[in-house]
Amino acid sequence: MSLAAPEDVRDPLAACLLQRPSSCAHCGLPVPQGLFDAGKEQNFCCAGCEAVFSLLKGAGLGEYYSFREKIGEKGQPISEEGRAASLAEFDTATFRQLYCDTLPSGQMQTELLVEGVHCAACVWLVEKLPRLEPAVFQARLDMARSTVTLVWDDTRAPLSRVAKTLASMGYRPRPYRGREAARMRRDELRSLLIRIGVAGAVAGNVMLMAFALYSGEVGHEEAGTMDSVTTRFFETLSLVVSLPALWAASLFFRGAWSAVRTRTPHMDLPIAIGILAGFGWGAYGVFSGSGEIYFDSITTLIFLLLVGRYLQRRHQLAAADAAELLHAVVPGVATVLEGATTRRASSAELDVGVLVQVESGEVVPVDGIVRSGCSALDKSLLSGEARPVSVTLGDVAEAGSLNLGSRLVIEATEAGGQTRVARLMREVEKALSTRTKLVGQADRIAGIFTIAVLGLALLTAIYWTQISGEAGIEHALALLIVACPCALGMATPLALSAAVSQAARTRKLIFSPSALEELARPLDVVLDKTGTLTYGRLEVTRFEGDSGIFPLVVELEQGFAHPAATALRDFAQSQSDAGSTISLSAPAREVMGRGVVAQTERGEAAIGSSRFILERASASQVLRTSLECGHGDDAPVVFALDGEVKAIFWLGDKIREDAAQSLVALSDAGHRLHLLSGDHPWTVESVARTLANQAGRPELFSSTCGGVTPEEKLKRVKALQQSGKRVAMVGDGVNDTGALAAAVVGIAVKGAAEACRMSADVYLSSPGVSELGALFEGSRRTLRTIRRGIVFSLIYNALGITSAAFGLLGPLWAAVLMPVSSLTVVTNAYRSRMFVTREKAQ
Amino acid sequence: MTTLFIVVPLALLVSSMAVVAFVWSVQRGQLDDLSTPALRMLEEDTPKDPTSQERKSLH
Repeated sequence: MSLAAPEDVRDPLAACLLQRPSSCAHCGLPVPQGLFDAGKEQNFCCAGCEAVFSLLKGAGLGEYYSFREKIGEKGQPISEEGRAASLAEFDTATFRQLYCDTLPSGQMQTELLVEGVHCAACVWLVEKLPRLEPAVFQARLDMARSTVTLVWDDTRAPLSRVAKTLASMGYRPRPYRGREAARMRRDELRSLLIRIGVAGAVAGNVMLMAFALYSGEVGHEEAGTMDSVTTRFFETLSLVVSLPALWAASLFFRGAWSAVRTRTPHMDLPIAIGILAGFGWGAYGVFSGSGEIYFDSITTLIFLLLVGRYLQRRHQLAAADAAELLHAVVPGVATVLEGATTRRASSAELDVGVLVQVESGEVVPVDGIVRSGCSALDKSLLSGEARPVSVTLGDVAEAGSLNLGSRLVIEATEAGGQTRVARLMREVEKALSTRTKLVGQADRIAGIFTIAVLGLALLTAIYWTQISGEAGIEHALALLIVACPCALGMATPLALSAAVSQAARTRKLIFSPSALEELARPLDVVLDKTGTLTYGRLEVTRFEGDSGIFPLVVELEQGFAHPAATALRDFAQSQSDAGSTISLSAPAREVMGRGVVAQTERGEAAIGSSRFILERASASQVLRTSLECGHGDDAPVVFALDGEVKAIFWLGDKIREDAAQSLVALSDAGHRLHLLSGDHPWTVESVARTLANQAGRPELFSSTCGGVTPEEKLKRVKALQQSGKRVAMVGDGVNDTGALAAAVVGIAVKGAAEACRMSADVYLSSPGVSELGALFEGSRRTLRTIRRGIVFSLIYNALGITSAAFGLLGPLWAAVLMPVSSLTVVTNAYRSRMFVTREKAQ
Repeated sequence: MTTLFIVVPLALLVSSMAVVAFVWSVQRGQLDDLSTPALRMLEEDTPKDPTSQERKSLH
């Protein structure tokens, strides 16, 4: 692919993007000094961004930038991982056989998972893939499921090249392995939808005929009442037309039958009894030519119930779909080193003992020992430790950690399903499948309700039989029909689906709506430290010394990807915009794992760990004392110029400003707080102390625990639950995944690893814990709405049952009462404000 | 009132055709994804479509 330089550099849209002259025109990240050219209107942080920018421009898609601005989504930086994504797997014969279809036209079709799809701009960009990659004919994005369906010409480009283009756009594609499961889920929803369609059409038509019957019954002075032939005609036709609705309602019968078999009360049971009683009695009425028919109420009821059921299932299945990403933590393809040559191999076929080469920015595919190279690994995925760990010859590297520094060669000691991360993922799956969901409130009520209704029907029958046998049956059946808990059955699903959509508007994604019922009650909230209470990345927490050196620090740390370098650069840049007055006479060079050194016109400048610097520079008494005393458990980074220590930067993981306040609100609401983190116990202790002090409550946390492995986290959460506590786990790392899945409610917060997000019930896309309070409050409101709905429907049912028991209820009243009660419940669900209050207040 | 015996079944026939059309559209997958199409209509496609020449320049 040849890349034309951006032709239209005076594009006003692109220019407005450049808030700062040194931010990348594509992703908005700062542009490294070496790449910055003041003469150009657009500057880029890396070649990848420049490539995408000119790719978009060249294809006439420059309006992506204006579109992105309109939607208000900040651009995602193209990650190192994205570029190094192992795409070779897409071309293997196995992949094609399993996941690709050949269309009749000879083109190929496949479905891929894509990461990082957030907003309308993403839909727009991804679906413009055919313009960027002519071999692709069609790209359709399904945003809810994060999948893209591609139709492409296999003879013009292999799938790996298409995937590479996607990755270069910032959407990392992954094989969609759960195709069969997804197809089953899709078919289930489709069949529900067809049932809704059929039931709706039936209900509408039967209602029209019922209208004719009711008005005919009332009669008119001149026209008289409807003649008996026409009446019979409409009644018979109602019966015939209603029959398909019985098929549509068959899932309630199945549910009721299994409720009977397992002896668990279920909403389906009273529903099925009501439907069958109504149908039976109506059919008897039609054939005998006497008695009432209830087909209009019954079919409307079936239609409404199916709508409620569909809304509920759709949310649940979307969450199940999303869980697919769990399998994607470890790369599918690895580079195997054999003698002097390398070859690409599938991660699944790696054996113990092979040498694997891992480039900078790639994820380690095996557990093993470093045989050559020296680098830093980001293990936050596994351990939750925010600081990168430096590794060298003989050190252990684990699958799933990200290589931050230079190339490593690793000898595998465990591979495939035996790696630690793979075992962890299996735990997660187990926890997900055995998760005990409490019986919903409506179902609990339904149990009592069914018994009560059956009892009352029996009493009615006995009472009226004393007057006449026929009246006994008629009134008892009328009671059963009117008691059919249409509104009761809809109250919960409707309120939940309304709450979920309201929550989504305030950037809270609720994957399993039943979590809302759980969250409304006091819980044991277990918090993870990294990323939840803190920012989860290194930052300068304190600075001492000469502030005039900031520009030089920026210059020195330019171009280094190490998190400490990034933190220092960001801090120095935010403190001073001035250019450096001291220029480097030679480029800065890294002393692996210790610091950075460069020659300047004023002597040697060095920045790094205190030991490294104190070997080559002397410090003043003040700075020396400060170094000895330390600053919490933050790590010092020392800067020296020409043999003299000039400044100390303290680097640590900063506590979020709003954390203490939000935690107090949570504990006021009756929740017990726990802190459970993979970080060093001292760090965890000190974070807990700082937060307790900020909050002014020494007993803020019921327990704190540091240095916890992912497996232990899971165990502790399970132990808490076994002791009768109901745990809500809040976390953001893959190391929390197991615990998230095991907890009654798992909550993932902004910045969470994709896999972690998928095992959670709720995802808060605003950072930190501040949104937690809003979530709990919203859940309480949701539960109140559900209760209100249930109370309404019970009142209607009580009215209906009473009048039926006294023999006052005809089919006309049943037909009026049922839709009115359903309407009340619908209004109650959709008019209640459960999650939008905060937004309104702003 | 005898017209009813013809008109009502006819009306039912018409509405059953609507049901058939609905079932067909569901089975074709037109109602699988309910959220993305809502965003798709927000796109404002520029009238100038890239000509085949521009396409070639990418390669």
